[in-house]
Amino acid sequence: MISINNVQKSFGNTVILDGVSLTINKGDVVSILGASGSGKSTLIRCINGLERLNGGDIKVGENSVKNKVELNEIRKKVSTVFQHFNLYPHLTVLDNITLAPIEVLGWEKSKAIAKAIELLNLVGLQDKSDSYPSQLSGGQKQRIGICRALAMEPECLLLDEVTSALDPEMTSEVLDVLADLARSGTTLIFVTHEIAFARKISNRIVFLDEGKVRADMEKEQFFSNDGGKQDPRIKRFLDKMDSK
Amino acid sequence: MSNNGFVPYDLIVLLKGIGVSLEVFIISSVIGVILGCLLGLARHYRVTIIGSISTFISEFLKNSPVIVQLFLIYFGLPIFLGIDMDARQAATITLSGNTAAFISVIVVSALASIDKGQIEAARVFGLSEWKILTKIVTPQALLVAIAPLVGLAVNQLQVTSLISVIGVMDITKVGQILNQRTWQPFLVWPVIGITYFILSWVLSKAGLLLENRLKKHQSWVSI
Repeated sequence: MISINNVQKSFGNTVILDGVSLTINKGDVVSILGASGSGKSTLIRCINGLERLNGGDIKVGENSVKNKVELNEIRKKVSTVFQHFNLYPHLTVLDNITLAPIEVLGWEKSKAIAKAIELLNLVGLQDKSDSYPSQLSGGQKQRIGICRALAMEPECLLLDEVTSALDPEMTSEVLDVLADLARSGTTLIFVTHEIAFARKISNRIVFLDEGKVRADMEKEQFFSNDGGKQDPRIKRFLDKMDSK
Repeated sequence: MSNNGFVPYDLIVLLKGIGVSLEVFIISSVIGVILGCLLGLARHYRVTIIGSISTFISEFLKNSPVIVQLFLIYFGLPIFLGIDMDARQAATITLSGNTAAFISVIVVSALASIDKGQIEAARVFGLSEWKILTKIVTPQALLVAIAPLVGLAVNQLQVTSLISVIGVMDITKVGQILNQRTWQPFLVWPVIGITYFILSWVLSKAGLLLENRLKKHQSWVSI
């Protein structure tokens, strides 16, 4: 469903993605792991078209991110949740969630509101619809961020270190919501440092190292001693994360 | 009888002067706002060559004396472009351009103050650049810009006094005429000064009111 083909991306002379190829199928829950600077977030930003590719191609269904018209189609199907939430501060929670469905998908206001309320119930924030983002805690903001992304009824959700800016208690609030989503069959691609959580909910692990795919395997295989851990680079990474 | 004393008609002349000053101020402000927003947007979105031209124009107008601009327009345009105009029109053109230059700077900095993250979010959800500008950026930028805009308006009102130099019958010109006739500078100029003060005071109060209304409309600010 998403095919990433030999993607090259650099900023100035710094190569960030160096020939990344991946195929993500419908219903996959893929965790992208890797050290800081390995290109994880940049890969997400290439899929949703925030960064322009220097080489290769990314296709979602039949549409390529390199074509402006097709990119707009991709953006209707692929939603993003951001590390720093990026909610619109001047709009209420309800307006944050309904803006894109109304303006981009052309939904009736009543339909968008019904959907938003359904999602707010799902994340347990039904009483916050008239609040402004500045009145919410970090965990609540991120759950709204997830609602905003889900309101587009996306085929795939991109999650870019969505818990990195949260304390442990808030992190678990957000991860609970994501675990439910993973079970419901939504395609998820998430960049994370929560190894334990990645291990719990994903079916596939992709390990990026210096802009290259170092490993792309089933979860069990990745974490087994005769699988991913055979690679000294991956073993070192996992050991370091374990000891944290 | 000597005609050195004040006569009731002087009050009417002063009121007419106020009318002229306000007319030039209001027309040049409206044109300045429209032009300034366009210049600012061109600069913000780096619209190829227009963006650079806009930067050049606003920097030139910002960094040269209004009186020089006034002379250039009033004496220059008729000679070089053959445009026939009276002093008031020249004054309006000059102040429009000058106001636009300052407004473009306020617009650019207000636009730049909006957090990039939300704009990226809006983009990712497929909103067009126009929708992002109108639904996300402008409501927030307006709040950033309103206070400097009111300050600029009060300043530009004082700047209108310069147009008396090319003979526009504004408040200051009326003051000059009355002063020359009556030889009572310490009566005339305080009155003229107070006139400007009252106008500026009303203007800044109105600006404050507008600012408060805007904030009230956007209740998130006070939270």
